[in-house]
Amino acid sequence: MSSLLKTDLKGRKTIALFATVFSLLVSLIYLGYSNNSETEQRDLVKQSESQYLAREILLEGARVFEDYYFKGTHIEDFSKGELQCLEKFDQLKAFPDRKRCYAPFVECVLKQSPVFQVNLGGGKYPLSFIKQNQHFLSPQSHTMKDKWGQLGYGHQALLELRDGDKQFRLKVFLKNNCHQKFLPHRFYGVKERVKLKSDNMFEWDNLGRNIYLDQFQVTEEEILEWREFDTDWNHSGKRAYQLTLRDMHRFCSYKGKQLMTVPLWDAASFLPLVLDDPTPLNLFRYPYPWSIRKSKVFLHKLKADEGDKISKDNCKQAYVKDCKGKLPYSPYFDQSKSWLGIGPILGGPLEVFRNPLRDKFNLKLSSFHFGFKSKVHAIGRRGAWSGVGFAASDISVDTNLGPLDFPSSLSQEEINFAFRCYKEEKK
Amino acid sequence: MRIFLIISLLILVSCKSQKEEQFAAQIKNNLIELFLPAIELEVLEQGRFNTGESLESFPSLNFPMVRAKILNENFDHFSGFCLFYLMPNNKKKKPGVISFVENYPGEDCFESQREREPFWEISKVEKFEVSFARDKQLRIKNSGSLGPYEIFLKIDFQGRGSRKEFIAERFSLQNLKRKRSRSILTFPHKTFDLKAFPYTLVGDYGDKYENKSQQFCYQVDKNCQVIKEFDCDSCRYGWTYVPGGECGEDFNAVCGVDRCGERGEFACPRGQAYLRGFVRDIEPCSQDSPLGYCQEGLVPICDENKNLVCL
Repeated sequence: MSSLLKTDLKGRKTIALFATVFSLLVSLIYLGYSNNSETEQRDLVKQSESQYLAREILLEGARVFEDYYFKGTHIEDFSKGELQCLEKFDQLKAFPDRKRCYAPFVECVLKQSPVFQVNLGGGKYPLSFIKQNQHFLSPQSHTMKDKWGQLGYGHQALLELRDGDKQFRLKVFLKNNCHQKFLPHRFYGVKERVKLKSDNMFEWDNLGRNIYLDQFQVTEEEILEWREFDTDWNHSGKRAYQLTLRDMHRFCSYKGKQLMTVPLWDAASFLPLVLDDPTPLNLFRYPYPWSIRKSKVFLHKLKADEGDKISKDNCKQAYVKDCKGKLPYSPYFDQSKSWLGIGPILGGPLEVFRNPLRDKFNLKLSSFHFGFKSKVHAIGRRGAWSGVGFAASDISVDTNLGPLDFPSSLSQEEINFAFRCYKEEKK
Repeated sequence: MRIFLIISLLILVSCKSQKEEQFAAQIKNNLIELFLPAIELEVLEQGRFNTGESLESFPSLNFPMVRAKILNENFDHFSGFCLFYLMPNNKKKKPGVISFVENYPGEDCFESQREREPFWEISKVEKFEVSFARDKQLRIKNSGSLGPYEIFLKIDFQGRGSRKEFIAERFSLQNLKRKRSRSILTFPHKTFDLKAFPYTLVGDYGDKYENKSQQFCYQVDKNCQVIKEFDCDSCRYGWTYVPGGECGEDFNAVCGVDRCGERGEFACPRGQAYLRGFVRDIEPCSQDSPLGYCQEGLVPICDENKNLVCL
C-alpha cells in the first residue's frame, strides 16, 4: 500500500513537474510570439503615426499654397520668383489682383522656385512641387474625365514631402472660381430704353437663378492651354489664339461654362436706375454704363465738342481708337467696369456673344477700332460677325447705325475677337 | 507541488491577459488606421453623441453613427466608411456590435448597409461613446487659443471569457475644422473636392432637342415628382433650364451647349415674373408665353411635355 502510495505520490510529482515545465515552455513560446507581435503592432502604429504627420504637413502646405493662389497671401519663398515673373507678365504689376488664380503666372513662379517651407507645431518642413506632364500646375478640363473623378475646370499641383528615403505626395486641386460676378436676382432688359413709351420693351428676370459672369475676357494664355485638351478645333486665323465662334463655345465648355449671351451682357452693362429695387415697374436703360446722365459721360461730351481732347483717364474708362499712342491698352482698367464689376463695357477689343434674340447680331462694336465720335460707343450697339473669318469683311452692322467709319487698316490685318463665358449653378 | 501548480496557473492566466491586451491593441490599431487619415468626419446622431455620454438607449437598433471620408496612404484616392452601432439589449442579454461598412461618395449610410457587408466588426460591446471636442492639451502656444479638434472614442466590451475591457482613444484632427452645421468636421479648403465621385460625363457638342439627342439632367413629372435628381454638373457641354412644365418654378434642365431660342430648340427662360404675379392673365402654353422667348420670327410653343420649344 505504502509503496503504492509512494509510487502514486512519485507519479503525481512527475505529472506536476511535467505540467509545470510544459506550461513554462508554452508560456515562453507564447511570450516570445506575443513580444514579436507586439513589436509589429508598435511598428504599425508608429508607421501610421509617421504617415499621419506627413499628411498633416502636406495638408498644411496645401492650405498655405491655396491661400497664396486664391487670396494672394504672401509666401516668402516665392518672392524672388515673383519679381522675375512680373517682368514677363508686366501688365500684372499695375493689377496685382489679377495674379490670383492666374495659373500661367503661378506656373512661372514655381519654375523659378518650386520649394517652400511649411511651419507646423514649431517645426519647419520643405515641400516641393513636382511636375506633371511638363507643368507644375497641370490644367484639368471640365470636359474630360480624370482618374480622380473630380469635376470641373481647374489646375492640379503635386506636393511632395521627403523624409529620408521616404516620400509622401499629395495632389492639390485648385478649382478656379475666381474673377466671376454673381448676377443679382432682378428684372433686366435688352437694348436701350430711355423713354416710357418705347418700342423696345424686351425684359426678363433671373429671379431664383444663380448666374455667374466672367469678370474678364479670356486671355491668350488660357486659349493656348485649352488647345492641349481640345484637338477638334478649327483654326482659320493666323494667330493661335484666334478662335471661331464654334471654338469659343467649345472653350467655354472646357471650363464648364457657356459663351456669354446678349441678355446677360446687357444686364451687366446697363446701370440700374434704382439698385435697391430688383423689380421696378419701368426698366429704363441708358446708353452709358457709368451714369444715367449723358452730360456726365466724357464720350458724350467729346462728341459734342470739336477736336481731340481725350485724356489718359478717359482712355482707362473706354479705350477707343484715339487712345493708341497715349496709353498702352490693358484689359484690366478698373474704370471701365460696369455697376456689376465686369469690363470693358465700352472700348477695348471687339467682343463676341451668343444672341438668342437676333442670332446674327453677336458682336459688341464699341472697340478700339473706332474713334470716340463713332456711334458705336454705347451699350447695345451690335454688329454681326460671321463666326469663321477674321477680316473686316466678316463683320456687318445693323442698318440703324448707318455706315460705320471702319478704319482702313482693318482690311489689312486680321481682327482679334474677344469673348468670355458665364455659368449657371443649381437654384 | 502546490506551488508548482499555482505558478503554472499564474503563467497561464498571464498568457490569457497578454492575449486580451493584444486583442485590445489590435482594435486600437485598426481604429488608428481608420480614423487618422480622415479628411471629413460627420457625426450622424448629433444629439446623442456630442454629450460624450455612453449610448445605452434604443437597444437592438443598428444606427449609422459616424461617416468618414478618408484619403488613402498615397494621398491620391478617396474612400469612406460608415460606423454602425447595434446597441446592446440588456433584457435579452444581447451585447452590442460596432460595425464598419464601406461608404461610396454620394451614398448615404443606409444605402451602404444595404449594398455591402461590414469589413470589420467589434462584437460584445457593452457601451460606446463618441464625441468631438477641442483638444485641450494641444492649446496653441502663445496665442492661448484653443487647440484643434479631436474625436474621442470609448468602447466598453467583453473580452475573451467575459472579461470587461475598454478602449479609449483620442485622435487629434489638426487640419479639420467644424462646419456651420456643427456635426461635420472637414478640411475647410479647396484642395479636395469632397463631393467628387466617379462619374460619367454626359452629352456631346452636337446634341440638340430637334434631334432628340439632348439628355435631361433634372426632370420632374406631371405630378411634380422628381424623376431625375439634379445631376447637371456631369454635363460635358454645360446645361440650361427649360422653361415650361407644369410645376411652377421647378423647371426641367437639359445637358448641352446653350442653343435656347434657336429654331426647333427649347425656348430661353424669361424668368419668374409671371409665376410670381408680376405678369397676369397669360397662359403659359399660349403663343406669347411669358415663360420663354425665342429668336426673332419664332414663337415659343409647348411640346407634349409642356416644355417650351421655339418654332
